[in-house]
Amino acid sequence: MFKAGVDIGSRTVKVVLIEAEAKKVAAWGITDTGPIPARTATDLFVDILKEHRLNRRDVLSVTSTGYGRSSIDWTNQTVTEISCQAAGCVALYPQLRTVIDIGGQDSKVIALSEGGLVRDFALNDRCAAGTGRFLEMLASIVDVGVEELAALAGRANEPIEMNSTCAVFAESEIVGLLAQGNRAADIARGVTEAIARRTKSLAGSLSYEPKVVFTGGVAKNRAMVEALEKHFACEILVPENPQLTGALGAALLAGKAKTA
Amino acid sequence: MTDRARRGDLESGREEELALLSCEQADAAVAEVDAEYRKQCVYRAEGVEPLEYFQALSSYAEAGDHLLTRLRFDPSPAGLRLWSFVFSERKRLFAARQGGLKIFAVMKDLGTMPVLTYALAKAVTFYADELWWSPCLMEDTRLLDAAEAMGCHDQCCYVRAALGAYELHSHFPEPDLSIAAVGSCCDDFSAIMQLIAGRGHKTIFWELPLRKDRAAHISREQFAKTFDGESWYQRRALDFLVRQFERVKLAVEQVAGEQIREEMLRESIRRANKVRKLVRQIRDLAYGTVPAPLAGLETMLCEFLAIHYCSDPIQCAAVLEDVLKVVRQRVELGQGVLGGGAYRTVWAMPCTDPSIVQLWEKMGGCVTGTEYLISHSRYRIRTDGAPLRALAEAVLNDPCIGTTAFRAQRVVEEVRKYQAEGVIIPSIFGASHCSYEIREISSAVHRQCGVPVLSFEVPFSSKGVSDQVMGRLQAFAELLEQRRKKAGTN
Repeated sequence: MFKAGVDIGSRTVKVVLIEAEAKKVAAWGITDTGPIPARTATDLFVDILKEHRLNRRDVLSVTSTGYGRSSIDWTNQTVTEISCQAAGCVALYPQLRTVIDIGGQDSKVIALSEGGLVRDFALNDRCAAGTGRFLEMLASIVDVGVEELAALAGRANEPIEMNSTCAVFAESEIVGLLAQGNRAADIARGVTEAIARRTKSLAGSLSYEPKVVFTGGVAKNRAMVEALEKHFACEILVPENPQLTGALGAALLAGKAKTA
Repeated sequence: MTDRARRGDLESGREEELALLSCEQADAAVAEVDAEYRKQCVYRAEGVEPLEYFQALSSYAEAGDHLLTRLRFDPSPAGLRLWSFVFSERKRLFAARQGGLKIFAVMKDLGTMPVLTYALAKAVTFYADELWWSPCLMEDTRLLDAAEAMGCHDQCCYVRAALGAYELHSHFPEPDLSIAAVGSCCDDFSAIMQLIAGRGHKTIFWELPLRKDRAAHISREQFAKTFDGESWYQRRALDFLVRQFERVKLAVEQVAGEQIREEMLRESIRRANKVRKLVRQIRDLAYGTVPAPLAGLETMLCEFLAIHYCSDPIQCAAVLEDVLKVVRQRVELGQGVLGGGAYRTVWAMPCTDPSIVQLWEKMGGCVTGTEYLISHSRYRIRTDGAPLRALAEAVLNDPCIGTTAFRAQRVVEEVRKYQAEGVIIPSIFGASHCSYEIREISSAVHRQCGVPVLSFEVPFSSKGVSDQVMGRLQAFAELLEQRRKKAGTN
């Protein structure tokens, strides 16, 4: 028998199936959220079941998380990304004390106590400053794929300090910097630094401790990892699939957590 | 915490949870209230036609406060009377105007100026700035739009709704005099009052002095402690305030055409102290008892009555006495409106969207202590000595006129007093003080109490509470649950 975690994020939907007893990952999938998150999540879940020749009856419990967690009616419980990220990351790194999660539209820092329980957390403001949206906007202006940004930042000679981390204001700032003849690589490094600075400031109120794990789509950007290591002054660990930790945590909490 | 809060009581199975009512159910409950009880709920003032105010809550929703249809209400007649009393203030003010009473609007000082004006029999006083929550209750931006049309945008907090109301005459008649406190207080209030005064509304400004930090002050300045409230202030600040009160008193007397004599002021202080005592008793039982005998919003309404009486000091005291009776009864019977296992949280700011308080309660939380920036309105006013000086001294307990550290300490004291598990700061969008005080409050609470703090901005939304706010509250509930598990209390 299995348990499932469904993480419906603003940019991608992730599903993880674990064996109920052994708690090992049995299957997973990830896809773009698209215009109707509930339908995307349902389709992905059904596809994974089909692919592994499973029935809905084989799944004992489903937990949904992410901003769209309440949009599906076939979930047994909803749990926030905070608790799910913590549970998923602790399963991978038992000695973990801090989680940095930067997704498409939000960023968060979670402080854990010994034993992996959430001690405190901080979320970014309502706007998308310092999130994946910020990097997407940069990629679009300099006309490269998001996955190429790390390499671009790696070619920087002199990072340019950004005045704004607001996705709206930064857009005109970047356009202005390019018009002044600045190199795209230096701007990319500057943006990366700005996000890392902002994340550090977010973590500031929590009295975070190493060991630190970095999750979410932005964790796939190596330049971002290096910038965070510099600002947090410690090694930053990145899971093999940093986008899946929320769904993994949801699966682990399935049938366990108290729904608020 | 009261005796009822002892674990032994909870485990004995005496706990009983009372269901809150929907607006429709509340209307039915109001209709069933005894006619004799209803007859007590009347606004009476010299020259004013008696005005019954206990009526169906949906009627207030029809009059514009649409959110009421989605809130849930205390099932007791006293609780429903409280809501009716608060929402009928508009009618009282217009009735008072028709009856020829003088109308005073006050801004910012939150608790003392009405004690001065209510010394007059033929006057009513209301708080124009309490309209900060009207846009959310109306689920409509009418007042904010009107303020914007006059050049006041969201650089000011929701208190700018008062500017809209002054111009639209939708919530209160034109005041005979507006009394605005400025100086060492929230910038938004003074900015709005300047705009209001600039549009020709008769206004007197008075200045609040800064209450200096005694510990950090190394001059020879003399400090004293307030009569109640434990605030230290520099003596010359009190002298300064007395002069301010004398100036305002003169202006009020000119408008009223009547002199405020010392015995009139003493009687007004006595009445204020009675209301303040009732509020203290209610909140101590509401916040200190498990299960909570009164929900967060009802207790908040009681707390705010202490600053302005909702334009009727006599009924205000009667309403609070009724609520206190119900709360005492519930404590005695072990009845609560929220489950005994609710997450105990101190709220360090009044929530501009009242539905968020109920959302938190639905998620398993409860309000158990507050620092709504009005805590000085709960303290006793001195009854010995010169009454005007006593009022001036009462102002010096205001948490807004001192350091942020002082306000943070008040939050810490609430956490300790009511054994809270966390603190929630629903910051007011655009309010100038919010941006700097959240970090200091959070840090003091973390350091001194070791409990987590949740802060978030409450944006206006006609579509209800945003997903972002809901997510934060749910995550906070999960966090508190995990802390309980770790502590072995669950």
